[in-house]
Amino acid sequence: MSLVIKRYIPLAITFIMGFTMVIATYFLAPDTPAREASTLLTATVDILVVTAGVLGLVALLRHHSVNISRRGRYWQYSIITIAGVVFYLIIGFYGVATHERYYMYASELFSWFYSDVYVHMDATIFSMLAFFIASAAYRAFRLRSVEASVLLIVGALMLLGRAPIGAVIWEGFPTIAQWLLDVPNAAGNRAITIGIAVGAISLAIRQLLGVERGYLGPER
Amino acid sequence: MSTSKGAGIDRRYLYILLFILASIPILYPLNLPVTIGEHSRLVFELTDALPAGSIVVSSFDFGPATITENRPQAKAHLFHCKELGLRVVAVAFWAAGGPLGHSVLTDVYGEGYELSEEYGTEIVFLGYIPGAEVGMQTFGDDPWQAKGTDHFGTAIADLPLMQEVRSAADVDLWGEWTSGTPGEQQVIQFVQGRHQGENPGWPETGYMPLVVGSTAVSVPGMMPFYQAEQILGILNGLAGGGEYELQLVDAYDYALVAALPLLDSQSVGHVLIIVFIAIGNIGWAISKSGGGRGA
Repeated sequence: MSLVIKRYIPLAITFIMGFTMVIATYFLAPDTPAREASTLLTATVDILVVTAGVLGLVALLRHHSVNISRRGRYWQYSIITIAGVVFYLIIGFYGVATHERYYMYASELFSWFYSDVYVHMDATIFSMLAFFIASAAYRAFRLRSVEASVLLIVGALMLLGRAPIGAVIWEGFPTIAQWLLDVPNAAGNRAITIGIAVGAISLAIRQLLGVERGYLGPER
Repeated sequence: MSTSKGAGIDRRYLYILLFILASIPILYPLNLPVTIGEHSRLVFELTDALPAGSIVVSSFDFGPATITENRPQAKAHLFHCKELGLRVVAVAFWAAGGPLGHSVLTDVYGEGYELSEEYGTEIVFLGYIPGAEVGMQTFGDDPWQAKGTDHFGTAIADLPLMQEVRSAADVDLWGEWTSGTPGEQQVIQFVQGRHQGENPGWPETGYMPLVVGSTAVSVPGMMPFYQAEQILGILNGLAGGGEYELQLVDAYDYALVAALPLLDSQSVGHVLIIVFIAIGNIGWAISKSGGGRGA
């Protein structure tokens, strides 16, 4: 019974849903009732997303509660995480309960924390990349081989070609940067993209047929 | 511990130097001339050529981490749409894109735009549509199935503009402002590919016209799609946003510039990185010629 629930039913769902979407996408004409029915099927993804959201919330709270109770690694941060989640839930629900129209902006406090706290913190963290890139450029870019030299020269040309100062130094830099992007880069990326697509198709076929079962978790 | 390999300079000095030199042009602009690249010019020309009343989808698929690059792009393009009398259906397939999109729309259409007369006829904001690429596919097939209400809780059926948007075939231009997945490749795969040739007004390829504003680091991966004319124009990072703003300044006296003032700082940062590379290599060469292992 356990094997049926854990293996066979998920495999059957994967096969039926996947096969249905393949038929709908490649064999049904647009604006036909059957194709529109398949759209209704994809629209039900909202149910999965909401369910996953609740499961994620429960898992997050459970994980950090256990970490605090066991005084695990960095348990102090777990307190901050739980406090943040609970606080944001409270002001969100309060806003929805007290306002009639604005769902996402139900509460000014909710909006303020997002726009004036979270947005700036996230942007700040990402901005630090500039410093790491500068440091990495100094430490890692070396003319130690032909390949590394080509990489370094192309990188320098792109840096100059994609900023206004490049054209001030020499007006040919933007043209070279554009050519590098349009020709050698496009050729390499096209090969990679096609390779990934072929790999994804083969993986999808293996999953549909139940050959690839890694997504179901370890077999016990 | 924080000493960089090579010339033996503490990396904290590099950080301080970068911070100071990149900050100076923000306070005291160098006013370096900006060259408008082909990719940005094509986005402008394509948008400019649309007749008034055309329907544009503007999709905010980015998070706070990349607002420096994506926000000016989206804002400038929306301003352009507004000036041309294009009708905009704004969406977000990233949860974080919902509030950010609302903020951009507020900048362009004014505070309380959702209560204005033009809301529902000229502009609609559907907000966040969950499901990533599946949400995109549903939206392309039937926007009414993808979202029952707009960002503010109004039923889609009550928005006159949405009466004309029943599938991707009704879209004249899709503006994708993105920094990851779902982004332009998912639009191509799940919207453009499924509706090829459904609108006689689209280009000869039959693809729904798609322009993209993206972080500079993602643009190299888009070039195969650009050459296949699945993407018709690209705003490449901060520079792309600045180039678009410059075209708007020339054509419409655009006052909301956000990327242009930062391009001088970007120039200084790029030159500094090249100088760092040169110093690092000189230090490495010296240490190597002196019998050391180098970095």
